[in-house]
Amino acid sequence: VNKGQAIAEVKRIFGRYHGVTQRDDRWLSTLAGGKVYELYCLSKVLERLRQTYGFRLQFRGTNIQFQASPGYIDHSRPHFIIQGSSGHHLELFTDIEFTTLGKSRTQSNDLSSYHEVDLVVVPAGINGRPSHQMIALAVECKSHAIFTKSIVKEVLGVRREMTFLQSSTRSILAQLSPLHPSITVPADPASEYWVAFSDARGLQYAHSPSAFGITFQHWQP
Amino acid sequence: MEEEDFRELAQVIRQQLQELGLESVADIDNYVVDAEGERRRPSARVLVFEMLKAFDRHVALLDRSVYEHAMGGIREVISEGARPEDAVIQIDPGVSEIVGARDLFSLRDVHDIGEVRVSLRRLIESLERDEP
Repeated sequence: VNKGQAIAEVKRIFGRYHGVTQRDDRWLSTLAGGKVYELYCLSKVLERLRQTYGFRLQFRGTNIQFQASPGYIDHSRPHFIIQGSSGHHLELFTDIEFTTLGKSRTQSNDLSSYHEVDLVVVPAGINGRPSHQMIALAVECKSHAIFTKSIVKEVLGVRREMTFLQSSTRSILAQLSPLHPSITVPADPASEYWVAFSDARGLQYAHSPSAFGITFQHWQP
Repeated sequence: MEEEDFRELAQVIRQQLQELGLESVADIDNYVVDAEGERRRPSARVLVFEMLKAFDRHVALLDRSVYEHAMGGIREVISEGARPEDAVIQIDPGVSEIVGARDLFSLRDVHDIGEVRVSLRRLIESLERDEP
């Protein structure tokens, strides 16, 4: 391919994309894009819960339902049931706010007392905003085409509000897993916290956050 | 193609990205690499590949085949009982009225845009074959 051919092809490809998307509402398009990536991450999370941990999975509802605005756990909304060993059940919900570690220590009730996570796994039967102590797994789905350091700073802050740092112990998921994988986290409560992203550059930021039990997952559709 | 040709191609790609409002993908500072403690700007050749791949990641977000792949994977790992039929976004009624959308937006309605991604990947491959 020569320069002229390459430039012509670039213009054709971008023109085709523009032609398909030009009538989209920008807000709705950005929202839908984020949720398509969240759906892709959900498929990866469920696959891992099944294959690595051996959980049995069920779905309650007709359609998977994402929220444009995050909210509470509501069992009338569609969700997944995760069956662990010894009859312990967990549930997976989308777009949920949890109440923070800081709130539990200060009894504060302002806008800093809760944060959203894209996917959350908690013990069965919880309603409303789960507290940080109830989280078995939280997953952030970062759909950005370019991974930037601000994402790292953000997830470090959320992790701070979820657990205390402590010596490594088996994660809640590993404890309830029929397969008993030896997965540990340096956290109390021993929740797992995964950050999924499509830009491989995110992997360059993975080591330091791993000291706090944050696992970086490069999932590119 | 020589480095000078890639420089011109990079300019065209940046302009196209900016016209689509994708400023962060067009921002050269986002492609700076940290090499042995020194921050270096990529060559024009590397920049072209990185911007095209970043655009592909952006296009994937509105690609119906990604939706279909994810739904297929989810249906497959469910052990028993009903499988989800679709994936929807619930939009607050006050917001949906303003943006002119339904309260429930089906992700099945994202674009059939796979052809753009196929073309992008073909272009990347043909440029890579042209390595000096």
